[in-house]
Amino acid sequence: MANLCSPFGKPCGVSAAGSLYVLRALDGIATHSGMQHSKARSPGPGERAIAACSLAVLAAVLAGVCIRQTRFDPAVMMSAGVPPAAPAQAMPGLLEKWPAGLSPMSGAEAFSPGTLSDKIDGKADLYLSAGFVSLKDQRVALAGGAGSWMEMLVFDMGLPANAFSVYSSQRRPNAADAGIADYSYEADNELCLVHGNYYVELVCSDSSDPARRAAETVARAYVGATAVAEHANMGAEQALFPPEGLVAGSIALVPSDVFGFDRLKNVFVARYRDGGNEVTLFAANRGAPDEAAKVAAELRGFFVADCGGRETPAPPAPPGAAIFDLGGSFEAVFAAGPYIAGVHQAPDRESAQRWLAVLSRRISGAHP
Amino acid sequence: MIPPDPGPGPVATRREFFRRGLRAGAAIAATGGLGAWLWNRHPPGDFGRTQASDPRKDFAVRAAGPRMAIATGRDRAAMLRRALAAMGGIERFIGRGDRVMLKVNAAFATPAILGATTHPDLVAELARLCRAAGAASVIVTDNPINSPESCFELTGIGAAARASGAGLFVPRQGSFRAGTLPGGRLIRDWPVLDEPFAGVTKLIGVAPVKGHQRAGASMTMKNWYGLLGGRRNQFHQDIDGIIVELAMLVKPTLVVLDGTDSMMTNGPTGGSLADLKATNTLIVATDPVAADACGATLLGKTFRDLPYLVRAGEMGLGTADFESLHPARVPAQAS
Amino acid sequence: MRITTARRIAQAFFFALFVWLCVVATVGTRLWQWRGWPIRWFLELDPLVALGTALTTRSLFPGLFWAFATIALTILLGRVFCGWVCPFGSIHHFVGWLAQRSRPLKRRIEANRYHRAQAVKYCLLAALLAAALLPVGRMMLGSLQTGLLDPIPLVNRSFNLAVLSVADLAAGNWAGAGRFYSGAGLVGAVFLALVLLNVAVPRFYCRFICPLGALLGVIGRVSPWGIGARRAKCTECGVCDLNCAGACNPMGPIRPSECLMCMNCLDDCPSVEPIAYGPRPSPAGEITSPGMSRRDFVISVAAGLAVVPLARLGGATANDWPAGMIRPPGAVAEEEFLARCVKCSECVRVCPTNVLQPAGLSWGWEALWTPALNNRIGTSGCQSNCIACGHACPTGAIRPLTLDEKLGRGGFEAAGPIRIGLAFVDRGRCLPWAMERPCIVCEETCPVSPKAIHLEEVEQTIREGATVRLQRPVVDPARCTGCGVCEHECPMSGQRAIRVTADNETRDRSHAVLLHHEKQ
Repeated sequence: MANLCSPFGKPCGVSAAGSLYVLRALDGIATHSGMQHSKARSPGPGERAIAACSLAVLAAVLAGVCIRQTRFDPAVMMSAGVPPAAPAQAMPGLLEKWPAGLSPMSGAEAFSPGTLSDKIDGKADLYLSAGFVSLKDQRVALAGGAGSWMEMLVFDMGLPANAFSVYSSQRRPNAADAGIADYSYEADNELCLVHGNYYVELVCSDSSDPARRAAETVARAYVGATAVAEHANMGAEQALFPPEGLVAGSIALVPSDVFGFDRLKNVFVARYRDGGNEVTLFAANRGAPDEAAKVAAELRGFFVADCGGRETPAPPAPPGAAIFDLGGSFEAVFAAGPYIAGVHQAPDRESAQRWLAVLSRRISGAHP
Repeated sequence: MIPPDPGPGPVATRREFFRRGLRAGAAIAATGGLGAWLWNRHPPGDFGRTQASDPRKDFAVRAAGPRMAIATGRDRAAMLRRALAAMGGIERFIGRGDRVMLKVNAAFATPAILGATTHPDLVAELARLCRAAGAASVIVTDNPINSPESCFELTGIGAAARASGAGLFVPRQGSFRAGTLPGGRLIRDWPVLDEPFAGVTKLIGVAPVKGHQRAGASMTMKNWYGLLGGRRNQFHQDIDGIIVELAMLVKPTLVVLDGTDSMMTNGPTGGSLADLKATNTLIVATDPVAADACGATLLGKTFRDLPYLVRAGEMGLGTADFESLHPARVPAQAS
Repeated sequence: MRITTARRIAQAFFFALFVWLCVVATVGTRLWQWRGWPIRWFLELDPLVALGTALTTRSLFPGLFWAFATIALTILLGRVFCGWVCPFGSIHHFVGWLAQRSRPLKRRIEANRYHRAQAVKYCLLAALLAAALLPVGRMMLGSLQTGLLDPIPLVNRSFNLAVLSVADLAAGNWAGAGRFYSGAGLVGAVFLALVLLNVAVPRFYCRFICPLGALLGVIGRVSPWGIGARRAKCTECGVCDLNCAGACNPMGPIRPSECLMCMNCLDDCPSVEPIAYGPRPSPAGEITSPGMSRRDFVISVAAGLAVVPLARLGGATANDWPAGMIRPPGAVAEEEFLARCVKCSECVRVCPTNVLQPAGLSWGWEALWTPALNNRIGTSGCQSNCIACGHACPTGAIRPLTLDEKLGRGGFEAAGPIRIGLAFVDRGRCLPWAMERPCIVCEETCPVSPKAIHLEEVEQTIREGATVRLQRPVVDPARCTGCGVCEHECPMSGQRAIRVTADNETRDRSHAVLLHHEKQ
């Protein structure tokens, strides 16, 4: 066995025959012999390199498998989904008897949480996050109006507060109070209302007077014909907001992800004129002082940790309040009794402090 | 108890090592070649049924010339004509004998004035211009999931198509074909609109500018969503991902983005005239990413606010920084 | 780090990965569910699966190209797959070590000496491949029986049906619903027996039975590197056999096709550099022949060639096809199915309703452990919106369907939905037919739209003289897909009054009940 060569091509002589081996049996002197089992063999550089390469291959396999699992198998996409919706069945109309001059153009249709996006596509999330139960919808033609028609959408939101939430968060800026049902407004071609747990939209194909009158008639007929267990009454929460400077109709209930904070839910917000600017006040009843204090603490943490805010010196009132500077926009938060409240996006610290004082007076009045 | 030595055989010389190395290399090459040759040579018997296809639709015209034009005004038909003229005329894109498909947005059965769907004036004028440029046929299509017939009729798109001599294609269940987008993560074995594309040589997307609750904005790229069949609402879980894949799926001849009125709030359905704002702009482009990036400015956003535009730009599917294309600007008073 | 330490890490890693890929094999998008985990990967890496299906079908199902990686590795480095990767091998390695470690050194060394019965595995491989190669039947395809002994399908089947099911019961049902598998006892018993054989001889299965090891041993004969000993410095103490996994006689002349690259001999050799890893051949000589005589080879091939035609004489793929054996949707025609299925039971494991079961011996031993539906055992029948089994199959025995194709829509209207069988009402057991009592459960639960079961109304005068109106179920063969939901729900729980058989299944035109199916 003369002139053996290593796999790496280095020629070697007879006496060095062993060096061709990538892995040596022993790099040092054997400390034992016979039937003794060696535990202390220390590996040579070639062996170490190959062992390291093997571990690198394992790491690559692990990485490959982990990347692969993010690409869902089509079978999982198909088989794990909700079962396909049952074919639409004939449904009674939304109104048993439509007012004179109106005739249904089509049968009513119903949508469930699984199929809502078939009807309203990307807007479904707004309703789903607010507790959507079902949507029924029907189109009716206006007699005499050349091609005029109206679509009626009845969203069952489960609870009056949920209905108020989707109603208030979509309220149009030029809305005028319609005085129907629990809450309602008219804006151009549209009439929206809250009736108990129902949020109803009446969308006309134009904004003519006959169309608007027809929408009003339908709205009153619907409210008259539909019994609800509980009416929507947000009076107590609305009363938390001082009337001075309030932008009319701007009080809204935000169901989730308030100010981008996923732990803050079901908060009333209202917009206020502040000189040339606008600020938002918010307030929510958390049921118990402990709970309100806990949420307030979490929100303060959110302003600092997630928004990069800086806490400014504590304002004189109310006790326990804090104001944060989020790079030129100011956030204020405090807890009083079961309430958590504060100011959102004030233009300067002074304004935040002033609104804070106004709001805290109002809240302590509501809850002495 | 050592077995007898087998006697003189090959020894591990350098030459022997190379001989063995070569043999191993040849064995690997032979196995690999055989494997490649056998690779799905006889797919599992499918009883005469079809296999998933490549669903990509490439109708881009790769001729030199302006890639984008922005017209201002209120009259959609006039803005379209002026913008196309600035792009080198519709003849640059549509020639004699072309079969043109107009992919409109007819997702909702709402009247045209609410701006949730493609405006019928635009459909009519585009169809007329295509016919005038020599197109053999023009078909208008979309796949609204909910009651397609009423969507086409109540938006006025159906009537506009008929009046301008264009055909209307309302998809049925059989109009889709399962396809897997090469490089796609979401569009895999997914039904993609197929039937009306038979014979089509040019594709124009026509969409309005709308805010979108989930995606931020819905413009020409989101408009291709209507080419998907099946229970596509599960793609809402990754809306940016699906819009980017749609941009990989479809390479249109042209896109027309209508920002005469933009839906600023309560998109994509709107419902009230109060949701609209007069933004007096119409964009024609060969690059949907650029068109949408320009449309985003009408909503008071930039392309950086819309992750799908950023990703599509990074992937080279289009130019998110649309100003770098030096779009031709056509003001209202120009011819 | 010593190479043996790296080997142990690799074995632990691949074993853990294998178990994880078994655990996640349930339909769903959670992290511990299938989502995108490559649950078929070990099966796709298996060259015997690739070679077997390539011989039977003259084609390589796309995912099986992974086997090329294993083959290339083996050509370069020998049976590294056996010693470092194979999860079944790692089980034997570990149990063998446990069983042997307290025994006297002399006995351990003797247990790891080469035994000429190690040639048996080459005979088994030759017989199995010969069976696969012989074209039989109408479609002229071979019969794939490698899965009975191929270690990857075997360990996959054993873990999915027996080990994890037992763990499921013990740990409160990871997989959601409690799972039952007919014949899991036999699968588990075979697994347990093979594992316990390590008490007698370590890695008994790997040395004497494993057809994949035999295949890799043949392939690895050309590898340029290997273990070798130099007699000049060797004291011939024999300690290198102490922990030798393959019983390959490392002291020389070594048998490279038996060497599992465990590298224990490097650690165990007490002397200065007599045993090392390097270019082949070993200075102490090599015996590259598998140890199987020409006569053994001819007998094995002949036995393999004879056994499939003998099995087919039973007529199970001809006129006496078993009507009770309902194959899952997308399964190819039976002869091609038997040419592709490796009995790995991946499909059985992913089936969300547990309706898919490993077949026992009642439908012929060729069909042993292949998947078939049992509508009584699971939580429901075959779900209309599920296509999991076809996408879990590594070999295309069950085709990866789209939902559109399964339901006969989106371009498949003309072909219609995939039918796996047909429901028959047993009028002797059905409540309204036989006992004049109302029951419409099967009609109510039929998931096909429009329903494949309709109700025939009759007025019947019963024993007391009163008249009752009865609704009696009738099945429409043009609509029924054989999903078995009706059978599962039928209140006659002993033997159902409506039962599905494989009649009318799409995959074989000769099983059709109607001349043609009208479009639906």
